[in-house]
Amino acid sequence: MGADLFSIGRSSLRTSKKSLSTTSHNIANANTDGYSRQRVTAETNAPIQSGKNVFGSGVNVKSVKRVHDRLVEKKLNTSISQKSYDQARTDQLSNVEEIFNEINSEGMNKILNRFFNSFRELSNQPENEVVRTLVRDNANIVIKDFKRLSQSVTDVKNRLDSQIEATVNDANSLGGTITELNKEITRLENMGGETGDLRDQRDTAVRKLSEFFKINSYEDEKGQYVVNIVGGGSLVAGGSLNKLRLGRVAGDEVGSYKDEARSEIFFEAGGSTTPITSKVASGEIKALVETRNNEISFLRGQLDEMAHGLVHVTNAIHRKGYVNKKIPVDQNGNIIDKKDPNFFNLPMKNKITGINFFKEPLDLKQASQYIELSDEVKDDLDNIVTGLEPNSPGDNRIAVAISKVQHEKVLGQGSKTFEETYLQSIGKIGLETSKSKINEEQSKGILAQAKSIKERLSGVSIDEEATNMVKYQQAYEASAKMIRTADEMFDSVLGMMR
Amino acid sequence: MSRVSEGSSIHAIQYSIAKTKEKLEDLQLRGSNLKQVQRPSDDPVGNMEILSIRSKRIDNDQFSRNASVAKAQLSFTENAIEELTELMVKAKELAISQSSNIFDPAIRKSVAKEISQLHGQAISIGNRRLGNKYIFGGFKTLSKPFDENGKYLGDNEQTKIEVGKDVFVPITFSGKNVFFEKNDSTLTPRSPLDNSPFQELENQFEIDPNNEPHFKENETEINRLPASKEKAKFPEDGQSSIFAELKRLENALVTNNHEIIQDILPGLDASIDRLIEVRTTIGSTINKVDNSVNTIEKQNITNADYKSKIEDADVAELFTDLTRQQNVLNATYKSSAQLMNNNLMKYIN
Repeated sequence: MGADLFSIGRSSLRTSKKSLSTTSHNIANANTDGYSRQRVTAETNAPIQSGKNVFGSGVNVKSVKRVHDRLVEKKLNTSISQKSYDQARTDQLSNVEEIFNEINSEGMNKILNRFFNSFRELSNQPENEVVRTLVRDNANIVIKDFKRLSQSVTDVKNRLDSQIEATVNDANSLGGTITELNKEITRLENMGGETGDLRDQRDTAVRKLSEFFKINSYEDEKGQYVVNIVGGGSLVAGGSLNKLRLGRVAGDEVGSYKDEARSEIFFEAGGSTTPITSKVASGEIKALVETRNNEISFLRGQLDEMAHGLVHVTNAIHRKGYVNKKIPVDQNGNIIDKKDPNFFNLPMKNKITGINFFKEPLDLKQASQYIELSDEVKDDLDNIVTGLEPNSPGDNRIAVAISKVQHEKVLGQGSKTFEETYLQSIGKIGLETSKSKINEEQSKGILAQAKSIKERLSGVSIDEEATNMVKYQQAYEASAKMIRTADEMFDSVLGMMR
Repeated sequence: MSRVSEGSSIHAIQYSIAKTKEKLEDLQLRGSNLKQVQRPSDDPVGNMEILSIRSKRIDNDQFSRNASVAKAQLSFTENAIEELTELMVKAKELAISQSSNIFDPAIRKSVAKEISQLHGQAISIGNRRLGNKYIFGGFKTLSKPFDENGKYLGDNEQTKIEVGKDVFVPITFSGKNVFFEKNDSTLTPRSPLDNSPFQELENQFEIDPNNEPHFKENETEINRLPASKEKAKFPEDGQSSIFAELKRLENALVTNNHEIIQDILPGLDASIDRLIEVRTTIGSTINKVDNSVNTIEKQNITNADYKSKIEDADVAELFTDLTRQQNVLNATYKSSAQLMNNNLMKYIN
């Protein structure tokens, strides 16, 4: 009888102590990322039947379980993917947008405008050397700004590429972590061990992975934990990992422009050549790849088209004119040209017409990066031509024609002016950015909601733990008292024997 | 009753503070320069319009500058032609006074001298310069258009500049048009873009024929000014000039040939008429420049107004919003502080 009291007391002490230590574990992890509070499930021991009476035999700890809901977890992961996608896109696009922001500073639009207007000024006084300096200076500013924009866009592209590479590596190493955890959890569970904390760790890894991709994870019928990239394929299946790799594929047509290469994500297994990027539903990697392959390539294409168009059209007009110098003519007013044997004895040994303003030939690809003044114009201001006829210092028709290019639809197969092309490009980026900003705000809200649902369910409440602590402490004290009572009872029985 | 955990309440606090602060920061940025549009994404379409209005403004500033250049040059040319007209009127009066066969040889001699002086004056007017530019040389602005005998060395071109979008006006009048008899065979209207390389680009892009600058108003007057395609060379035979007339008059006076003097009179009249016509053309061109300047100024005002509507922040609204957001933030701080600093542990000993 007494022995029963002892064993009931002992089971009660043990249970209370386990509960207290779980409470302490909860409090310790109150601020641990991804921690789910744990609860002790106690169970009454099998009762002992003795004759007609049934005696209870105490309590035992059945299990320690974490409070967790798979659906809540899934919703949280989905909103993380969406938010990461929107945030990464907004961040990148805002960067790009800032390069083209002309509201509070000078930008290409103004600079190009000044360039054309400097030719207009030159048409006022084609004889004037000072205005030619102005034209050349403005052309140099245009060149500098094309290079600045081109360089900035390339920088963003390179940064995006290295960022994509880093995230792919992160995703692979997270996949590795999940694989290891899978193995460990299976091993422990086969031995009947507690796996709550490991499962929390695995959930945290999956949540982290959700930042990169939209993830669907589940346990299949064989008890294997599978992590799927939604739209892509399975990254982890139980203990095996299907690694990702970053690859380049030949560029698609972007407008009338062919970019050098697109960045795409592939599965490493079997040397797969099908990129998964476009099929992936959301996540940071999709945002990075998308921005790099679409907006950045588009902008590069537009800049190159503009630079190429400017060089081409300006040169075509400029070549028709004659230099602002005395050109030797014979008595009939015809120009003495190079075929004339006397030509090389004349002071005019250099070109008098057919002079390019910008350097040619220029490939459309990377035109904005390599735009440059022609050597002739660099060397001698008088090689900036204004006149359509030789020896006509007052002839301004070339300058007028170049200034009129400003309002002509010379780009996009004759559908857009320079300004329209440029402003539409900025407009497109602005529109994408503003769309992405709105999406980001929305998905941030949804994520906050999902996080709060998850935290309400699985998060530790100090108040609750405090109550539990008092409760378990009292139970522990009561059990201890119970054992002492049993001891005293035992002593009295022993005292009877004396 | 929904459960509240440490995580969920901390998260709620963080979210609401971050959101309020973000809004406040945006408002403060707008408040710092009073602009509604800070970056393209704030108003993608508005941003495009702002930039395009700015370009128009730069264009218009340039057009205004061109207009002043045009006006200065045109007035200068007008003055020169006015002097020339007076000179010719004087020559005509002298010619009339000497046109009868009754004459005093001494007076004729002195009149002949006077005419010779007028000839010299006319040449100096023909070689007049604005700055370093000869105004009557056509495109040959840096070399003397007339030699001492009145032989024309310039060409028959007109410099035209743009004083408003697609509005071109001539700013020079070649000596050929002013000093020489009209020659109808050389009449061809042309715009500065005709025959220019600009048109050759048509293969690469379409030029809307309606956009091509032409001189619709005053077309008759301007077109009457010949712009021949012939270069440098001008056969003077068969085409009389002011200098030739004056020279002829002088010779007639010296040789006492009153019939020739009478014969010269209609030629002098025609020259005076032509000069008056050129002055009328210049006058109407100046008018056209003034009109264009007016249009530009009106456009600038309308554009500035429109731009301000898109670009500038509504100050009253902005600062009301700013104050309100500040209050929201303060309230959030206060309530968060209370939530964060309290739990049951405090009361358990």
